[in-house]
Order: sequence, then C-alpha cells, then structure tokens
Amino acid sequence: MLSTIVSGRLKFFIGGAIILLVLGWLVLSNIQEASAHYLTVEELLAQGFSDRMVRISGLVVGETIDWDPQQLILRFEIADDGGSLPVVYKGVRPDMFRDGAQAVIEGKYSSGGIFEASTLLLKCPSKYAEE
Amino acid sequence: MSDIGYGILVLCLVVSSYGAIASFVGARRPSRRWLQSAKNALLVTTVLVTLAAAVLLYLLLSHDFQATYVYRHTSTHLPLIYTISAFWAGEAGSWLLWLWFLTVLAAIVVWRSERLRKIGPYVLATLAASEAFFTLVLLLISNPFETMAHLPAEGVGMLPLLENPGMVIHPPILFLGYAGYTVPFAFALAALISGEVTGDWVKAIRPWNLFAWLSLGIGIIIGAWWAYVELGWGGYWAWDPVENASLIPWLTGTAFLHSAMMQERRGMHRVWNVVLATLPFVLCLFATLVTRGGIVVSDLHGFSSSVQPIAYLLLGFIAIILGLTAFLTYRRRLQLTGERGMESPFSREGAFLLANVLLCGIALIVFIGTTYPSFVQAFRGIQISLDASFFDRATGPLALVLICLMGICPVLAWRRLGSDSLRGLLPGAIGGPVFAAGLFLLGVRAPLPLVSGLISTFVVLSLLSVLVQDLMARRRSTGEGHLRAFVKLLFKGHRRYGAYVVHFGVVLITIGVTGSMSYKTEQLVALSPGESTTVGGYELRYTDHSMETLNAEPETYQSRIRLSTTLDVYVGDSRVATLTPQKNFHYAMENPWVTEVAIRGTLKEDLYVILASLDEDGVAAFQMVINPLVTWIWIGGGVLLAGTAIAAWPRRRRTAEEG
Repeated sequence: MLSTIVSGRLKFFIGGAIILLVLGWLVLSNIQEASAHYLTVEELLAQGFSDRMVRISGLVVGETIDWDPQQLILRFEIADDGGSLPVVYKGVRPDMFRDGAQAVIEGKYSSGGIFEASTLLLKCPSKYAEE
Repeated sequence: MSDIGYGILVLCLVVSSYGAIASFVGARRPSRRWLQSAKNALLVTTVLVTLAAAVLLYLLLSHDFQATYVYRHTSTHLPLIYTISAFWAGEAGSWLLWLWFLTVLAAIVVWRSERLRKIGPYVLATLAASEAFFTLVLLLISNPFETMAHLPAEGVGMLPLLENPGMVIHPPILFLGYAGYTVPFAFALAALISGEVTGDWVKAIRPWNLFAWLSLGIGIIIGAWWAYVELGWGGYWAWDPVENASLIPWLTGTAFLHSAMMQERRGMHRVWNVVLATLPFVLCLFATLVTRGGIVVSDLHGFSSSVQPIAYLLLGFIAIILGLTAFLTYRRRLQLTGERGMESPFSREGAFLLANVLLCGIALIVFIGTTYPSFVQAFRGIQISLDASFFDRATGPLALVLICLMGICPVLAWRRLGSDSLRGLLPGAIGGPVFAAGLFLLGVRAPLPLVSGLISTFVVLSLLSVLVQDLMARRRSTGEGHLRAFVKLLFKGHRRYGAYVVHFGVVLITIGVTGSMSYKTEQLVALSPGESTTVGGYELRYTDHSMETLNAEPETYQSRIRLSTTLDVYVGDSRVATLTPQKNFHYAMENPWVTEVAIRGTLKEDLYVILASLDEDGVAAFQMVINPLVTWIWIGGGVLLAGTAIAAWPRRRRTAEEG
C-alpha cells in the first residue's frame, strides 16, 4: 500500500520535473536567439562591415530624409552621440517617421558604407502611454 | 463642479476605510450591528463613486476645459460618443472607471452576502480596503478633477488612435475584468483569515470567476481587433508589453477556473487555489504597473522612461497582498493540507492538473519575456530587446499541447482511465490525422498548419463524439426525441456543455491565428490613378483620390488633412468591394500621421489595404496584405462569449436550494 502511494508520488514528481525542464529549455533556447543587442553608431563603425544582423537605435536626421514613393525606397541618416549613419530601407515610410523621431533599425552593415535596414521601427511618443 | 468631484472622492476614502474596519470588527466580535454598518458603508461608496463618475461625465459633456482632464482629452470637434469615451481615454479617468466597477461589484457582493456566513465579513473588509486603495490613487496621484487657473477656449483633443469604436468598449470591458478579479481574491483572503478553507469559498466564487475571466478575455480580443483595424500594421497581436500585461492575468485566471473545479468536485489543490485566486488580481495590478509605472521597457511604446510615483504605490500594494497571503497560507497550512491525493495521472484530474501547469507555464514564459529586457538593463546596464518570435516559439508548443488536452479531457473519467474513454478518443484520433493528410495532399507543407489542423480536428471530433454519446445515452434511458433530449441535456449539464462551447471557440481562434501566421502575404505597390494591380486573387483598380481639411478651426488633435484614395476590388469580372484607405495628417500633433486602413473581410481571408503615401499628382503607395482566416478569431471570441454565458447560467432556484 505504502509503496503504491510512494510510487504514485514519485510519478508526479518526475512529471513535474520533466515539465519544469521543458519550460526552462523553451525559455533558454529561445531567449538568446531572440534578444538583439543594440549597438551605438560608434560601436558599429568601429566594428566595420559584416554580414551579421545588428540593431541600432538613434534619432532620424530630418534634412537627410529622401523618400521615393514610386520605388518605395526610404533613405535617411540615423544619429546618436557617436556620429551618424546613412541608412537605406525598402518599404513603407512609417507614420511617425520625421525629424528627431526615435527609430530602431535592424539590418546589415555590409560593404558600401550604407546600412541596409530590413526592419524600421519607430517608438511611439510618450503621449500614447496615457491611453 | 470639479471641487465637488474631489470632495466626493475624499468622502469615499473615509467611508471605504471605515467600511474595512467595521467589517473586520464585526467579524471579530462578532457583531451584527457593526457588520450591518459596514455593509451600509460599502453601499454608500457605490453611491459616492457613481456621483463622482457623473461629475466627470458632466464636465466632459459640458466641455468644461478648465478641468485639466477635459482639456487634455477632448475638443469640441469630438462626436458625442467619443466625448463620452474620453472618460477612459486618460489615466485618471481609467482609474475612476476601475474604482466605479469595483464599488458596483462590491454592492452586489453585499447584496448576496447573507449566504456567505463566516467568510462574508472578511470578503467585505478586503473589498472595502481595495476601494480605499484605488481612491487613494485617485486622490494622491491621478486626480481626474484637477483644474487649471485659466479657462482655455478649446481642448487639446483626443488622440486620433482612440477615435475608434474598439476604444469605446475595449477599456471598460478590460477594467470590468480587472475589477472583477478583486472578488475572487477577496474570497481567498477571507477564507484564509477565517480558516474556512475547505470548499465553500470556491463554490461561492464560481460566477465571479467566470465573469472576471470572460470580461478580461473579451477585453483582450477587442483590444486585438482595435490594433488590427486602427494601428495599421497588418497584424492584431505584437507581443507588446501592454498586450502581454493583460494576457498574463487571463492565463492564470483560466488556470484558476480549472483548478477551482477540482477543489469543488474532488477536494483537491487547496493551497494552489488560494494562490491562483490571488494571482490574477495581483497580475492585473502588475499590468497597470507595466502601462503606467515606467518600469518595463518597450520597443513600440515610448513609455515614460523614469519610474513614476504610481509605481511605488502599486509595488507597495502588491507586496502587502503577497506578504499577507503567504503569511496566512503558512498559518493555515494544517487546514490546507490533508487533501485527497490523485489516484491516476490518466484521469480527468490528471488532465486538469496538466492543463493548469501548462497555463501557468505559458503565463510564466510571457512574464519572463516581458520583463527580461528590463532586468538585463537594470543588472547588466545594456539595452536589449526581445524579438516577438521568442513568444511564438517558447509558448507555441505548450499552447498546442494545451489545445490537444481540450480534446482528451472530456472523454476521460474522473479518478481513473476506463475503456469507454479510449473509445471516445477514437473519432478524433482517426479524423485528425485524416484531415492533416488531406491538407498535405492539397499542398500544405508547413508544419504549423498541419499540426494545428490535426489538433483542431481532433478536438472538435472529440467534443462532438462526447456530445453524441451523451445524447444517445439519454435517449435510451428516457425515450425522448432527438431535439428534446438535446435541449434537456444542455440544460442539465450546462456547465459542462458551456465549457465545451468555450473550448470550441478556442479552436476557432487557433484556426484564425494559425492561418494568419502561416499564410500572411504582403505586397508593396505604387500606383497612378487609373492603374491597377493584382494581389492574391483580387484585382485592385485605383480610381480616385482626394484631399480635404476637416475641423480646421479651432486647431485641436481632431484637426486634420485627410488624404483619401478609392480602390475598386474585382474578383474575375465582378466588383466585390470598394475600399477607401486613408491617411490623416493631424497637424496639431507632434506625430501627425495616422493611417486608416481599409479591410475587406471574408471567412476565407482579409484583404487589408494600407495607404502608405499619396503625392499631389495622385501617385499613391499601397501596402496590401492578405491575412487568411483572421475573421475566425473574432467569431471564436463570440463563441467564447456564448459558451461562458451557457456555463454561467444560474441554475433554477429550486435546484439551487436542493444543492
């Protein structure tokens, strides 16, 4: 009788341990891959060209914005304390894209000296937080 | 008028604090007079907060721009419906709405409190104390009745994104859920304080639990719908901290619904239920901490970057709740243990337990993902961001197992595995793979739709086969006709069948999510007037464009230049729709551009057209998205609502008294 209770308990402990391991594995195996480190413009320039995907956050420089609505190509420069970086992005010009907007770009800085952004995100203004 | 509103809130703080103390004294002595006085106090707070809400509504409707809240969130350009919904367009109004719901729910608890016997007074004490906390927040930090020294001629206006039907109903329903979860928490705490932890409180809590769970769930779905039709990025869920913050309490609330049933039916999981009744409430507070506190880092929303005063108040309240619950659970550990053990993991209990663990596991993963960037920033000083794919990949497998369980669970018996159970699984076990194979032959090769199709079919067939088995059993024993037996069955087992309907709704949502995740396609085109393009099976002809200025004077957030385009949609030779994607330039705003997407939805797919830009010569850039099966998500939400209504339907008085 006792042994069946013990083995019953054991089953549940083993089951619980397996579930915890699965949970841990799901989190750990994905969290590294999905977390992108932000680089500053300075750090990126110091690294030089590479085919690695990187993420950069900075402010859009207004007078550099060049939007071609026919080809849907957006060229601009993004700047932070360490300098500025020319960027090209193919896609829709986001609603909040304007001078001084805080932008997050993700893409490659391969040869050519122009950052090819595959995603362009803009941070909503703080006013939105009031919602 | 504003001063009256503030005065009412001060009075409400006094009365609710008194109510908390009086209920506690009434329970300790015990004294009926104290208790009656406490009940009256709670009813008075309901009246007071209703009055305060009426004052705010009056200020809004009379465009009293001297009131800061009215000035900041409305303008005379706003239509009536949005002047009313401005009540919850800002932080202070949202808190007031939350408090108002809480006082109304508390009044209902008071009205029904005779049945609660020993735990009743402590339930009232907890509710009154929570009311006092929310009133304190309004008075100290977020006062909706603040006024300015001068009277501005016009208000700033409402954020254009909030001018949407979704935002009229989403916040109230969500806050109803937030407020609703105060009641299960109050019951759990009362059970701990009074020592009546064995079973009754869980039974008494059921309608509240269902109500809060449904409100929060429907609130989340409407929020997703709003994001889909208003934010204009082609999706409905981005795993943004704001979205996650309301999903986490809903997941734990779902777990609680299931584990409460285990205690009700089989006397199991007493400690776990106390924890699960408290968690959704605490996590609703956490959700507010995320959206208002300036603690969690977000990519999309530039929240206030510094920690706000409200954060300390909320953290303090959360710490008190968790500390108190932990302390009382420890003190009551003897009453809480000695529960019945589980006989076999291959039983309905086992399946419920696994569902519980999975739901909490998903909630934990979402919690970790939401707070991880903040922790990294706080402890390692580097800025990182977590891609939305993390959530898909980490929670997806668990969610699929969970959905699978919805098909297995109904056929399992309580206590142990029987041979009947296995027979019940048969239709789904055959039908699921057959359906998946069919999809494969039709050319579906991606793993997600195949797995999801298999599981969905399995669940639906299992639910149906259980229903048919029950129906035939009833007809054999009573000799009733098909329809009569069916209706009687639904009435008698409305809790069970209501739950099946809810599960069916979840399957529909799964189908919609799978379809839009796997087969979303998008295309960017620039067109001149008169040109056309094909997307999916549609031909879109760009026929017309216009530019007009709306609400020019006086200048508010509602003042805008509207760029509008007209596209005729053809399938073959017949015109099926005319879409007018627009873009508004709200020139009074810091971020002036707001997109109005145009959607043509069918059960098969949504054609979702975003106007990206429009030049003066009429050249327009469009982003065209085909989102398959999205409509199923909204239908699933409706089915969920219907199922919960069936499950929560009050039993007839006579049977209620017998039970």
